[in-house]
Amino acid sequence: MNFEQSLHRKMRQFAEPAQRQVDAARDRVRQRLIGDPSSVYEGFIKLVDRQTSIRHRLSLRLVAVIAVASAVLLAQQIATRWPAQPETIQEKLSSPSVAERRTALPPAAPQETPAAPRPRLEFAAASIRIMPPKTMMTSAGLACHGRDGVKRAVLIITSDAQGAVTAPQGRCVGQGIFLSTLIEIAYGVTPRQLASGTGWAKTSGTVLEFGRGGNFVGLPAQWNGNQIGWFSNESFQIEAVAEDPSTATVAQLQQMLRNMIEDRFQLRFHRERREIPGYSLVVAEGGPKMNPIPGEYVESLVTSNGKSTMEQLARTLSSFLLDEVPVLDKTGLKGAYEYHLALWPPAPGTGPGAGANGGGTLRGGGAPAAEDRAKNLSARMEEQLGLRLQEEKAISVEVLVIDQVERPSPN
Amino acid sequence: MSIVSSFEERMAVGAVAGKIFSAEFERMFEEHHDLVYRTAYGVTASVEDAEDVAQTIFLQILQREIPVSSMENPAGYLYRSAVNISLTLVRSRARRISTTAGEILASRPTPAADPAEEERRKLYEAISSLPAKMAEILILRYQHDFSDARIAKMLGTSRGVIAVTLYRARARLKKMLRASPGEEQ
Repeated sequence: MNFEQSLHRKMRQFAEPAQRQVDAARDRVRQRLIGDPSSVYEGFIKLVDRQTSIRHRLSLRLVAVIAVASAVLLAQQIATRWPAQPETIQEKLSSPSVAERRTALPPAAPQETPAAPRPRLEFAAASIRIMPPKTMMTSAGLACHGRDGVKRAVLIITSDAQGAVTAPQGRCVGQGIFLSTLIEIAYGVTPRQLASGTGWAKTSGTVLEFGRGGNFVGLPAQWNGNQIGWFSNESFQIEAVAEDPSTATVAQLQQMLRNMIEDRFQLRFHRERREIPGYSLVVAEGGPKMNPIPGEYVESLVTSNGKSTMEQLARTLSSFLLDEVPVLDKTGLKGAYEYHLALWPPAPGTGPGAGANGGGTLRGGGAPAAEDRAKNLSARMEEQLGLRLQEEKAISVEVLVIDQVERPSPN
Repeated sequence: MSIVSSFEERMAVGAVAGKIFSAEFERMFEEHHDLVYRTAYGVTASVEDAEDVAQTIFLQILQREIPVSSMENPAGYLYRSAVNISLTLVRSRARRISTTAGEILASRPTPAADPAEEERRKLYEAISSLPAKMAEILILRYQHDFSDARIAKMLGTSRGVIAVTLYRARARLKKMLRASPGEEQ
């Protein structure tokens, strides 16, 4: 074999990853870019870290040379760990992918004995300031950054402040957020699962634009091109920090938020089941047009290139596209499917601008109402996936009903 | 950015949380991601590293807010970035191996590695020390199997330059690898 052939053989060794691997990587990279800004920077930081680690290791080397006496001990320690240290390429490739590792559930917390008193998780410091109506801002929302991820509610981000709803690790930071948003984050409920509450604590009004987590929710606001201000609702600016920012998890920050709300806003509530209107996801006439995925797969919730069960697709439709209107999976389809759902351009008479010119329902600043989005979604899904949305008058969901709430106590 | 255009852009990309991709960025991402990923994977032989490289490159474009329409040759730019960042990773790994707690372990027998992988690793370490232009052309030629004409078009140069650069790159590589045991001459 001559040199050129040898070169070619070696360089082709990893040149053709399976298309499935490339597709999964594309989805993961897209999600990391679009989604959480902290995860967006993760890859970059990782690369930078690798460079800086070289300098760090050089100093280690110097230390190792100087500390001859401890070298033997160090060598012994390393010797005991040696078999586990090197990870071959094959092992690395057969191990879970980056996204799988990132989305894997954290290990279950050890069971506490009944006798062990559970410490009340509280922020070391928490500042809550009332933002009067018409306070202008470039973004509104709240982010809680734990060591294992970020929980975030985005009410609005103007083009001047993309990605501005962020928080340093171990903190919950937000502005322009309503108490209802705070409760949604703290208790893990959707806007549709929150009932009662006084006017100042709720988000309600006409549809404006944008929304939390990619939805389009109704918010009464004014807009001056670069900034937005809530018309009549009081909102809050919050900054709270955990006792140990380096170790607090998202779940712990949520628990701290719950305690903060109960202490500062005197929140009292109960849970009950209610029936609310929604949609069911059903198979359209002609049957499904998606490809079943045999065996294992990496879930992708980006509808333009999705891989999921129908139950998960229903949840995605509800949370990303239909303003948390409940969507039940009634397709009867088992297992996972691969699908491609392009939502743009919208079906005739259902997209933005349709209200003004094409007969759809537009309110406020220009985004179509949930029912119009449902119509567009249904039409697109029927055409591309062989599925459709069917209106349901009553879907049973658990609702958090607010019994008492007060304006926050002073800082 | 108007309200309606923001909405349209979100709908166009499938309404995912948080960040807004412009339709033009989305098109560029769709069109070029695979070449970036395949290049990075071919060089680093690591799924994780290849994803990080792809993410870093597209993130840089987003962060710098480079209008896609102003990029004369997006494919060439993205490919060059993929090669350079991937080779930087390969170089940093090589340095890491030579400096990690390092000399203390030198007397220990190296665990049996896959000889083919070992050869491949040495090859890419050698490529990473070549001038960037040579490395870019070598990878397109031998990793991606591109013809000289296609490489010339992609990198905006002539076939003659590609042929000469390839010849010189092979000669340099051969010289560098000659010392490596087990290398075919």
